[in-house]
Amino acid sequence: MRLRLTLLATSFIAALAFQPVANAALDLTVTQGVSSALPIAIVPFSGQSNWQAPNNVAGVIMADLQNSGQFKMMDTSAMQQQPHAVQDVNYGYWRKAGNDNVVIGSVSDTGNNSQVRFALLDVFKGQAQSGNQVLAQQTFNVADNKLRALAHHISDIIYQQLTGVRGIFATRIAYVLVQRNPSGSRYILNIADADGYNPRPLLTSNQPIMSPAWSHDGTRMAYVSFEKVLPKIFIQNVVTGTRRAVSAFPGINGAPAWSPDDSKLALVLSKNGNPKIYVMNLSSDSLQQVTSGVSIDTEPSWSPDGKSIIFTSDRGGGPQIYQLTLASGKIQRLTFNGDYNARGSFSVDGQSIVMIHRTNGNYNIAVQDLQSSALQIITHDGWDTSPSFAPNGRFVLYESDAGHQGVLGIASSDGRIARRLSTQDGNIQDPAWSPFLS
Amino acid sequence: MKKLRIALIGASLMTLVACSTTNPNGADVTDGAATDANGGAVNGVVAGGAGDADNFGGNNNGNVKAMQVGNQSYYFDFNKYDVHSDDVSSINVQAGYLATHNKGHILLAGNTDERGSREYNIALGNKRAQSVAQQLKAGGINDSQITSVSYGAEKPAAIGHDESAWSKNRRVDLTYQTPITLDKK
Repeated sequence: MRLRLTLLATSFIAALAFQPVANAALDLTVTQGVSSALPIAIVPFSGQSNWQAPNNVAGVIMADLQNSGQFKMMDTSAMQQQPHAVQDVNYGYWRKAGNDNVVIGSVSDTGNNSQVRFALLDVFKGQAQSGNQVLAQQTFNVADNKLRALAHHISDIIYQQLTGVRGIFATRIAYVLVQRNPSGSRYILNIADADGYNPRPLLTSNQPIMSPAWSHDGTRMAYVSFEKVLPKIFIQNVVTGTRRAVSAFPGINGAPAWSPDDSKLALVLSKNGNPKIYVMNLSSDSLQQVTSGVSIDTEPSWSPDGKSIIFTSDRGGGPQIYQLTLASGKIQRLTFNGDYNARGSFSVDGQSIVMIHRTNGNYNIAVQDLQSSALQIITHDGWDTSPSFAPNGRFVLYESDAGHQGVLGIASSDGRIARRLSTQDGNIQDPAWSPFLS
Repeated sequence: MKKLRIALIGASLMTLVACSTTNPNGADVTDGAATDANGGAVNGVVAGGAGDADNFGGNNNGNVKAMQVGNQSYYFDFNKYDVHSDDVSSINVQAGYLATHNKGHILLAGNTDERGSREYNIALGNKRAQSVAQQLKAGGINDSQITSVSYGAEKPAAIGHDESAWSKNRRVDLTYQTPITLDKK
């Protein structure tokens, strides 16, 4: 495993050399073990010889599946056969080499476009000559500059076939990159591919940017910007860059959270004194205050059914997570384990929440099952914050400041796998995973 | 003693007014499209003037010094927002000045140390600024003389990852603004 990680790191660094600076990838390190891994061979595709090029389809697929921690990849240098067509596959060889599945394919140049064929094969069925060994097989015609995006799409198909869960390789992440210099700081709200490639700025400012939140349709980003000294909440179209300020009240304008149907924004205002949760109707801009009292109430997050909002409050002393049922106004405390639980948000199925949890002065990410109230700590860096679930619920994206550099952490929701994406360009804050984008 | 200090302040206030109008510091903000939402091509990033922010009097300006009235930073315990009793007299000095200069305007910026949740820290910084505001108002100054902002953990005064840095970052900074140069839009 160690060798493989080293290989991976090497290929990432090599890939950087071929990339213009604007596309520089985040560097990846796997920090926590690997769960029961499915053995698979990704055979280099014909037509692409540079395995480490950023648009090498098979190379990107291999990196994606490897990064998920759920696959055991056969080393390409150990492959004594490298077939590209289904009829050329010797299933006995791949079985003997310990694989359950094989991915083969080809890339052919058709001018400015490429034709990509791939097939996902079941080694057991192929060996048994049962005839149904092809689990997935497709041909794509794409522009050359979309090869990497297509590779992520193929990774999603393979992941779903083999795990039964939708893949997240073609999704995106947003985060704030902070560059601190003696002359002042620079804040950049970036959107990047889920593997950290292709970072593109949505907003650049010399004042703090915080709390980016994707709309559920993936087209808009809400965030807090201090660009004019006092904070405002903006909604920006991710495609066109057009934006509008939706909240600029005296005091806090913070922690925006989209309702599941994107028609409303929950947010935090302190215009009447204390930080309280409000709900803004985005078509009318009308505002409704939904919590009250002298406590801190912040970090709202909607339940997937839109009927309730969880939030952080110190109404019981320290920060804990509470649930507000919108129809009744009833508020119920959800967390009782430990004296600091904050920034809660729901899993897609509404069965669990992810949060910041402090034990012995260490801030880690924890997942709490709402039925049983059982809490599981899934990261162990001690400086972890800003967690959110991936759209398939299998992973949690968070900010880790271990080593006092802000980096992206990605952990499996069961806590068995964790990896880290870092950059030399600055500190990463407040990451947020996009919804499914296609 | 107190009288003398106020006289000095009066002089620097005048200087500030003169300087701060000539040299507003523009915040550099650009925004633009990243890409289409469907996993596709990159559109050209539109770099546009989303706004030219005005800064507070003299903050980033070498040739202008922000006005000082005694001690203008107040410190807090971890996760707490009650004013330390030994800061009360310093805050009362500010209140005394502002009560007699009812056109004087201040910014209270609440801050926290780096630990914990970012938005919770924004709320915590807000509560700290609020505590100082309440102490000032008890000293007879008007709500309209105070603008509060919380930066949470985003603007540390001391860089470091131990209690000696954290204790310097859990603070409210009081800044005199002359004139008031907040967002004019």
